[in-house]
Amino acid sequence: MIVKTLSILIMLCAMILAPASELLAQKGVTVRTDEMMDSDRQDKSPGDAKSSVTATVVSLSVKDSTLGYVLRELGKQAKKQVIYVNSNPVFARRVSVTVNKVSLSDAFAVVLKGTSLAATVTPGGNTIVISSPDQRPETSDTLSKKPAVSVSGKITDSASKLAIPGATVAISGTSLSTVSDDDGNFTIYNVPLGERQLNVKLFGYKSVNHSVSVTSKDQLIRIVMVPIATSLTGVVTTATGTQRKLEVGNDITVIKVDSVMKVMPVSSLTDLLATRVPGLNVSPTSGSPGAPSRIRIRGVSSINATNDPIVIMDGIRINAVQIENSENEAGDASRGSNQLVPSPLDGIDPNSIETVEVFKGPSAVALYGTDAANGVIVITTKRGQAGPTRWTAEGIWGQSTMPGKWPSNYMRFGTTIDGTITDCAGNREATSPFGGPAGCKGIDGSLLEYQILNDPHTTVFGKGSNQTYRGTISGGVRGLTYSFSGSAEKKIGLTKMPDVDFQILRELGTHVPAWQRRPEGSEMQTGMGNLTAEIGMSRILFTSRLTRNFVRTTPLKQAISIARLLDPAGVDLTRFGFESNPYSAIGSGILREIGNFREQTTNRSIRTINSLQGQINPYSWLMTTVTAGIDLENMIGVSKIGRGECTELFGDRCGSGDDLGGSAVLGNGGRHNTSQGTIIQNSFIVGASIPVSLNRWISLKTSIGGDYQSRRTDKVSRKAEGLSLGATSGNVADRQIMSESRGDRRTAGVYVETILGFANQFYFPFAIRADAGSGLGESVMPKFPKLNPSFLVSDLPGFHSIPFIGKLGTVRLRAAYGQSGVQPSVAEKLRTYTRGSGIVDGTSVATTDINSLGNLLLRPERTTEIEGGADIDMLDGRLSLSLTKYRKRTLDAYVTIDVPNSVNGGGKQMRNVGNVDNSGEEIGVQATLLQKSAIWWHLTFNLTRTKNELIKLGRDSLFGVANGGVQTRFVEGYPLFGQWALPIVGYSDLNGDGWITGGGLNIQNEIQLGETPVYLGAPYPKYETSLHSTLSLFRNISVGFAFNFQNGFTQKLDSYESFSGSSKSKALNDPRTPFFTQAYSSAAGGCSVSNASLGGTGVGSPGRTTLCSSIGVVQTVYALRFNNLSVGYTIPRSITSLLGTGRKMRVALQGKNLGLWSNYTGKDPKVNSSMSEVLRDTGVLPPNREWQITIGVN
Amino acid sequence: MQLFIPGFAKMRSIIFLSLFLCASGCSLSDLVGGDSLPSDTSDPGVVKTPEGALGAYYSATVALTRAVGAGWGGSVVMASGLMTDELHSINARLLTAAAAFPTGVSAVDARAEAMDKEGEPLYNALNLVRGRTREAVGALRKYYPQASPDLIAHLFAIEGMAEVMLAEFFCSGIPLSTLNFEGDYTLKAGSSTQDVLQHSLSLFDSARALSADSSRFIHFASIGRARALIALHDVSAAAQAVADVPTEYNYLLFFGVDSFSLFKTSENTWSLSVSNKEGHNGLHFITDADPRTVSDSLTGSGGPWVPRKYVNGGIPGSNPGSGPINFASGVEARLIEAEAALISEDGNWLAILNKLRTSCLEAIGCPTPAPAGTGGIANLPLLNDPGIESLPEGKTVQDVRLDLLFRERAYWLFLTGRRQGDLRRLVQQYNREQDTVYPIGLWGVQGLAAYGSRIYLPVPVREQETNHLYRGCED
Repeated sequence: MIVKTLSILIMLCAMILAPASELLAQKGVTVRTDEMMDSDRQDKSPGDAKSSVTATVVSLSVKDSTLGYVLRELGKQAKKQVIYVNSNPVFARRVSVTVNKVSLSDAFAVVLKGTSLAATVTPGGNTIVISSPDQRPETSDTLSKKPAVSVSGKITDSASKLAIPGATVAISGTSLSTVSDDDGNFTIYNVPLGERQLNVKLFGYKSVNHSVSVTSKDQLIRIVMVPIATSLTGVVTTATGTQRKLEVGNDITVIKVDSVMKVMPVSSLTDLLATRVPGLNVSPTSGSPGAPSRIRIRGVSSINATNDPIVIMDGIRINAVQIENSENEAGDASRGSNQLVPSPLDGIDPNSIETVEVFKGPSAVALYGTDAANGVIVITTKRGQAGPTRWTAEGIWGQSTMPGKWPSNYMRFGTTIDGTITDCAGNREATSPFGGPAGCKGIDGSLLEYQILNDPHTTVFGKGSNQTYRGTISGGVRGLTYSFSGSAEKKIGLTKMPDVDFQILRELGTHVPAWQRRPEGSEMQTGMGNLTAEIGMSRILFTSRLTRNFVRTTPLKQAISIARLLDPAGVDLTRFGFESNPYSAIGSGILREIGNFREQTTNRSIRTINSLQGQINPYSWLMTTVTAGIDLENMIGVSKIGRGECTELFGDRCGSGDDLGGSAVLGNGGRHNTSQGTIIQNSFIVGASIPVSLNRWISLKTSIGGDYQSRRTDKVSRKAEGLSLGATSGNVADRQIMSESRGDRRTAGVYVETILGFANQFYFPFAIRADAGSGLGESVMPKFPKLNPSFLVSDLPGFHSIPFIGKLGTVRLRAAYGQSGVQPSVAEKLRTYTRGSGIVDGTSVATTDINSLGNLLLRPERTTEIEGGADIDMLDGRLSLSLTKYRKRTLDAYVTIDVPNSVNGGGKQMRNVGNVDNSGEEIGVQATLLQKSAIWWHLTFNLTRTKNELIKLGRDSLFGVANGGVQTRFVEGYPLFGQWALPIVGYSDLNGDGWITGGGLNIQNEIQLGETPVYLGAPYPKYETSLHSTLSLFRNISVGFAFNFQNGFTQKLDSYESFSGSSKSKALNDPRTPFFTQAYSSAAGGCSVSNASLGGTGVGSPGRTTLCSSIGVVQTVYALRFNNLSVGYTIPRSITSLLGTGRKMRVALQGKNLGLWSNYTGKDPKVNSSMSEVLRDTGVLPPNREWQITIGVN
Repeated sequence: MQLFIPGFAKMRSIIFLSLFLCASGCSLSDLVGGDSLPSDTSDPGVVKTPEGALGAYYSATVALTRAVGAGWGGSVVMASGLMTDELHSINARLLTAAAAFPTGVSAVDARAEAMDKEGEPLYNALNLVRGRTREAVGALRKYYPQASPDLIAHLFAIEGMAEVMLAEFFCSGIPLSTLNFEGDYTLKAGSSTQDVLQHSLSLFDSARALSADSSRFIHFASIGRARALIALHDVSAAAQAVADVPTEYNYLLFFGVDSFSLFKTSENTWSLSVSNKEGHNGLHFITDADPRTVSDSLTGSGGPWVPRKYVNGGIPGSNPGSGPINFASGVEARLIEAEAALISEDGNWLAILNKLRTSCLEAIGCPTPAPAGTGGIANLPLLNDPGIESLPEGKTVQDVRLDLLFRERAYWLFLTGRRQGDLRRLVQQYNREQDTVYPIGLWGVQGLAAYGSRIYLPVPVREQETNHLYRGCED
């Protein structure tokens, strides 16, 4: 079937390429020999300037060339300019002509025979116009039998000096007008004599009013247009190909990477996207090198399906699935949370990218079809330019640190009646201001405050470092260009073996390898090259990229999680004045943690992305593209710990876990997990565009095409335990298991799009795509429509005379409507079975057992978006404003529900039961505050408001995930992934001991909880704003800074315990803590157990006992972050010449994550322990603070 | 407006190509593989063959086997034994939990201390049987139409049995939701115990009608029908239903020698023991040394006690519970007839019981070989009518006769999942005080917790959380 459909697509291509010309030849052109001859005769009138032109003798012999080419060549010989409207397909017709020493008029007669065209010489005799009768001015003027005046000219760009096609030229006060051709030439006939105003307009240029004295002589004018800065110039890369931004009625953010990297430190693609795109939210999982980030555009739509955008690079779809560390993806050794799978997005060196375009929702991406509902990120890599070889080189050296201090842990000590020092956390009465009879006897100053992460001897954090080297080389000749780039990057993470542990191990004579001392790091090398060949009107682009990635990580999460819990007693009480540590040997509390560093966890990957893109334009009116590509990545993940590496010295921290089932604790046995996987993403895309000019004002561009995408993952995993002493291979382990998994996901679709244009002012694109997905089955083929008109109102006559509004430079109104979808995996739809066995009547039989219920009624999740907005440029382009309001509704959202037990004993099933709304406003401002020769100051400001709401949830609406006193719930009228907890409705010190105690079963004693959970917030910011500033001084100094502010998102505070009910919290150890704080801390105290105090899958379900509330742990947060600071200096050539290079050199000092102001009581709210939608900072390394020096040469 | 002619021609070609493209779109699903599955996914097609349909049939029968005897954390035999006087838990974890939460563990309150989440595993296992029977009926009818109708009859009977057991164990208000073959599912509100049993009767009737050629399945359906009827307290009708079932008939559920887990919980440890005079009211299953309940000490002296009838090859400690369970038998048919005779004051009831004692054959589930020293079936003495002896205080003749009858049922049907239904009937149909029937007082080897007051299990909370039609127990 695949072959069949491919053949259909190939046939389609063939039809596009072959028969259209025949159709046109048969029906499009009529021969009007008489008129032509007549005009020729007229041209031969003696004494006329034109007659000498037509009498010019020419010779020409060409084969299989376009008619346009032949006409131009003939004109050249006569040293005259030939003008024709090249959108007329006749000029693309292939002809063979041989004329030898004939007059120009005879030559034209031969060449134009069989067409409806005729040659007309302008009155001045310098230009020959080829046109059909209805395009020509009146015949009488044409032949200049009676006096006639035409105004001709050429329009050029003031900066590039290149010709400007498409400009509208009009004679004010008349209906005379025309449009400049591809060479910038224009001619207006029949212009009345006298003083006239020539008005020349083109979007992106300042309008020109040119006074012309029209006399009896023809006028030839040169017009120079000055480009103005506007946010609407340029092109965007849509599913149907390149389109002018002006024609697309969506707000599409285009990031020109070089302009960003020149002034800001950008280390990765996600780093580049963060804070630069209104409506796009980036959440890093951690500050560890290579850690992936979660990207969400315009909120979240899906409850159980993916919310990730898709990524297109150089025309093909690439793997961009950001997976959490423990997800069972190819290459993941599945060793719990220890494994770190490198982000596929961040494996793309930003230095090799020309632009990144972000299409934010279905109204912009409908033609990408299924899977695109969450937005599309389009990456275009750098291309070479013809000319001398250019090269750039850059070196970056940086250092990273952990900003700020970690909150302390607390412990209160007392002395029992027999003099033993004891922990009073469980017997506070004795240390309360009211005293107590037994257990602890209060002693002043016994409240210990400590945090090993802040102690330089015991902390697991040191200084990280990074080095990056990049280079590019590009150039080529006309018709063949190239660009190559490469980069090498090495990072060492912050984590280190605590100094005290290293010292102890050394004293014990234990060898500590270097990787154990600094267990975190990453290395990446990338190389990319592309070749562009242009043959005639066709172009072939080949791009190839190779990336090698290596990440070494550590059970860091455990280290942080456990270290944060260590109380002072676990360290060394002697430092607090006690004669000896009553609990443990010196340092053992820390020492046992270092067992985590014995585990070596690495992930290596090789990835290659190749695309071949052919743009074949056989005719001027037909543009076709064929693109094929493959993104292939092979990963090997290894997690191992040698036999003997775990000793009693490290307790059960080292190598604990039960990978093979059973209850074995690995201890000294050793372990070796290996996983190898491959991800293959294939793309095949064909498309064709046919532009049609219905008349001078109306244009039509129709695009048709189709694509096929597939993503396959293969993974083989082996886990082995029980290594022989000294063995490093899992082959000799006494227990081994193997597993194999595969995934396959495919989509295919066809589309038709038409863009109707009126007077270069109003564009009306409409389109539809029909889609098929491997997860939907044969019966479901969704259609996704799109409509996104754009209206340049500022070009309306009289606009600029409107008070106030007329002062605005350019105003564009836009609106968009579109749909897109998300498909499930195949297994979600179908009822699947496994073959098993059993005994019936004493005989073994083969059984066919239901494996999963499936849901044959599953439909694609469909998101509809409506977007409207305006783009305004004013002050000669120094101030640009983009306003957008959108609303998107996801219907039939996928929800994996619990099937009632009365149906086949229960289970899970994905259903279409939800409707979700995302709405918001996006404001983008670009302002050039200063624009002098010595100083230039530019600001970019973005503001986004996002509202997410679950509109409807079907019959199975009661579900959620409990997590120790707080629950993620899906409730109509509230955002997805909302956090809910039982409220504290009262508290009182009933027993008068000075403490509010509670937690667990005792919570109702002194803390009263409400019966119904309350909404606390959702994990996505309601408001996000960012400010980027670039200041350029004396052309060689640049200063840049960036701030980002987010507000209204929840973060679950797990990173340390001071407010989460732990016995190490200040609230539960310091009697001076206010009752309010004690109550909220104590209420969470009983929630650490897995009893899911809110009641398993149903909050407040009947029969469930409420035990605790983590309401104080889930915090609704604001965060203002000083993201970047950069100071750069471009060394003048006069100085670099002294150094012997004479090249342009640039030096920059750049800093990242330089400040954080937040109400969050944890370390940093912008982390997430997994890629899940619910933010938790459980054991996560917060974002680092980095400083780096960059030296670049080009 | 007059269109520019060449452009118009182009448009027509575009329209033509677009139409062609749309037409080709019909095969897009072929391009993406339509319903094809990733290679590691179980193929839905395996059920779409006669072999697959037959496999679905076996799947349902195996589901019944596991629900009755091999549920990890919940099976009919285990639940019945724990809720009544047949078994007690020796699982340290459960005992500890019971001690820590003497009033907070509803499973204890429901008497079945091994029932995690109020019997949810048992509830799931019985509904799994129901789901699989529906699936198998659909598969056989569509993909193996030439199969013997006996198979479908068997499936109806199995489904009926599952519903009878749901009615015996769970509260009134049981949702009989259905899984639709090659479709969705249909949720149902709770049905009363009577309605569930009536529904099972219709299934048994269907089974009997379909399996006209198979006496084996007819007898199985007849016994099921009788079970439903005695649960509805229509004992005479029950007796009529089993009149044709020969005493030699049995319906055995087999287990793999290595896989049976009747006496194991999810912790994979030996965690149950046969009880002896459990909770004051319990029968003396150990000390009576009755060959029908003979058990062996796991330690050689004292408990835990392992029922010999379920030890494969008679080797204590090895694969306990690998012997087959006699799930439906002619013995039970005769016991039902005896009960009907007793209720109708037909003097034949005692003769029926004694005939069973003297004519027990290996084929009807007598312990074989008769363990040395236990006397064997042949040594079972004939019963005397207790009604002609001196009556205990407060008891009538009918009371003591019923006691004897139910004692005989307890021994004949020992650890086959019948005891819970019997005790519940004694309370609800014969008006016995609950505390005189079910175990009372402290339970467990250490006596850590008190038996609760329920005589049935509640439908799991999860059902109420997920089934919007369900409103909870009615009683």
